[in-house]
Amino acid sequence: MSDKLGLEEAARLLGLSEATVARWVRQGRIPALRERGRCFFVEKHLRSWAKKHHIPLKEGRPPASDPAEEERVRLSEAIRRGGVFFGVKGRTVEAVLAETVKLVPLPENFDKDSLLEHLLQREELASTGIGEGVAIPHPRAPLEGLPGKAIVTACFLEHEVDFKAIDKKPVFLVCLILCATTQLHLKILSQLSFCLRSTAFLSFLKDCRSADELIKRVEVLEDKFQTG
Amino acid sequence: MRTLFQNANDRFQLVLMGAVVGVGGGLAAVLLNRSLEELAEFFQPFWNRGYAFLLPALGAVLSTLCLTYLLKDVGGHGVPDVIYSVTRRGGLLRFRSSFSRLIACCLTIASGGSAGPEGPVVISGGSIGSNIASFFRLRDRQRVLLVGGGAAAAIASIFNAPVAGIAFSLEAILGEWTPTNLITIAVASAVGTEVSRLLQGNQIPFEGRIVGIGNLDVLACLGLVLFTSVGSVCFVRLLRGVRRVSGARIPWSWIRAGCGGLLVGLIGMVLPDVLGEGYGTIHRAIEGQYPPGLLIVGLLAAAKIVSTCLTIGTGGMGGIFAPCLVVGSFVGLFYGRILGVLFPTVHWAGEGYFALLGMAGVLSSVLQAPMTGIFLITEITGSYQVLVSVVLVSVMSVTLSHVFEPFSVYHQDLAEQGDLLRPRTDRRLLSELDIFELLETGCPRLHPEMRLREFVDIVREWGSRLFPVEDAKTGEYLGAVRADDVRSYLFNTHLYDTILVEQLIDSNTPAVSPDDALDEVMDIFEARHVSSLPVVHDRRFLGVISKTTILDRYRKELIVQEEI
Repeated sequence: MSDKLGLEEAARLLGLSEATVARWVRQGRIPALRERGRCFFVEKHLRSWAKKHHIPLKEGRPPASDPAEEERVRLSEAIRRGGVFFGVKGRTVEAVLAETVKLVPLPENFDKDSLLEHLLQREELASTGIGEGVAIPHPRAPLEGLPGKAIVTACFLEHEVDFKAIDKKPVFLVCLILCATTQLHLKILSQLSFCLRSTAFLSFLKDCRSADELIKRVEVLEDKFQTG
Repeated sequence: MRTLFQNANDRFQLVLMGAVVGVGGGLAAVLLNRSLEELAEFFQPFWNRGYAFLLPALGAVLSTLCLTYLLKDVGGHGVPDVIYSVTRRGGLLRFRSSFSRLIACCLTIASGGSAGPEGPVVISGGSIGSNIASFFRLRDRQRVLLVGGGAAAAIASIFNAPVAGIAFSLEAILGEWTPTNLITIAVASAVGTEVSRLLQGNQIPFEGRIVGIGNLDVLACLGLVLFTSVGSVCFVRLLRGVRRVSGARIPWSWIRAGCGGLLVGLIGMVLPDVLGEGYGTIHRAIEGQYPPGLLIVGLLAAAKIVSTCLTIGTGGMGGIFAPCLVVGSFVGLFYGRILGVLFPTVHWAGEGYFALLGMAGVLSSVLQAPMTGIFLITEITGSYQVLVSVVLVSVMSVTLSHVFEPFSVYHQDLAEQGDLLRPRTDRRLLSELDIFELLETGCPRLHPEMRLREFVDIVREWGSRLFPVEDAKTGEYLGAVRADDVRSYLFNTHLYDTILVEQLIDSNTPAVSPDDALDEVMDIFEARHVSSLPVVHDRRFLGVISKTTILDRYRKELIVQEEI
């Protein structure tokens, strides 16, 4: 005996409203059983009926159940993987980027020279200085050989550098973002930008001296981002 | 005259054309009938010779060679080709189809092949209708009706049964009973019958043979349903099996047909009644001229099924209509004799009665066309006495065999290929719409280097929900960006200059090609939960196809198909 489905479940499976399914039952268009005034569907029969009529079934979870996936993408985790560095040297964009690339923890066989080249190319196309003294250098397209999880390396600069940012403010923090996919990149990016919208966080950044504290502050903001 | 005709009212036009097509279809049937008789007479003396068992093979080989090399037409047993043309090609049929099958089928049947002349004559009639419609520059809609009319006329003329012709055409070929369909086809059918009566005389084949049908007989005919259904399901399955096996084993069509013919010839040496189209056999079955014996008629029914499958399944040219009748008559005889053995004291209506009912049952269920069976049997007996029993047997046989074989023998191949598109069904409507008709062009093109800021401006200005991304230099299509996907960045002015359009390309959006079938495109919509898709041909973006437009056109498509 295969499973019985109620009206609600059947409607969900068929991707229709309950009212439609109820009407079809009334009109006898869909195979249904009646038990004590309530209608039921035998799943096996319903499936074969749908197949015969070329009605696609909505299997499993609806597409809106992405949060579980998003839960895994956390900026704080990415920063933990990438590391936080203070007093990074360099007076030009190129020098800063070269220094940052050296600091990124990546597999040994990864071609860091080509990474730097990609970052500079991207910088040439448009500045990654997103204002408020923060820059987020990243390659244009996901590079091959990157680990599956996002990496963000936060480098506080020794000297402020002009990144030609839109708000023309000199940059004191460089967050290098490396992701294996564009989707991941965009998710990390939106979390980062959410954090930067908080003035409290910005003023904290200016005097930030501890990696743990930075990650803690990010975690707090992240939770806000997820819920709101 | 053409202009005068083209201005006439639609239905009058169709009535007129129906009459013309009816003459053509009727003549084709008479011609086939006559030449079959002549050829059969020509072959008659050879049947006493020792090598007679080779005749069907010879006929089948000749007929296949003749069809493929001389007449250069593609094989198939006629009716499915007509149905395919009606559903997919607006009723277009080649002119040479109007005679090629007739010649090929004459060779097959007259040489002893177990097949009927109806399939070929249907394609003949249909092709005459189609070409007349094309000559008068009629549209697809009318051409389809005239193809149906030609087929109806051919069947009506060959059996002298006008209503059976109408029923056959509506049930098997057009698949839809509407007033306009009925008018055209009825006229063609009536004219076709009249042509045949003028040329061959008005004979009702089995007039007045069946008398004294009691209530018990009507009750007993329900038992016959079991036999006719089993017979027809076996028939359909065996035919499919033979076609598959022979098609897979023997690649050369004429050798395949020859092998089938040879086997038929061998069966025919033992049971000569299985050879040919079998009208004579039916006559004798109904008149009760078969020697007594239960097993012999059962064996004949089985042998007829096997030999027909060997003839048609291997590519011999001929229809399945007449063999169905022969099988049905044997099945009926068989059942009648079983009754006689089981209840010797009851006075039954006679073997002819059951033979007739068997014919109706097998024909209806093989063709999945109950009305055709009912009218054909009523008309060829010329009496309404059998009507009640024929209706019962036909309808019940169709119901029972439908459980095992949901498609008629004509439709099953088309259904397998997904080409069985009955009028006004979802698949049919979708198959008629073309992606080009639904294309929304004029979307602004994006470039991969564009910033989010520029893109937001474009989204603000344009109503579309999907934007194509093209390479700025080559114009090559790179992907598409959904307006919905930007929503999360809209208030993030920080990112306006950091995010590039290329990063927003939606990898979940496959591009469709303009040649894709619309029902497949609909499946993509469902599977991906998207409402619009980019159409790309040769790496160039052509436009967007969206569910909203499809619904709108779909509805209009339905509206114009309504008959007023």
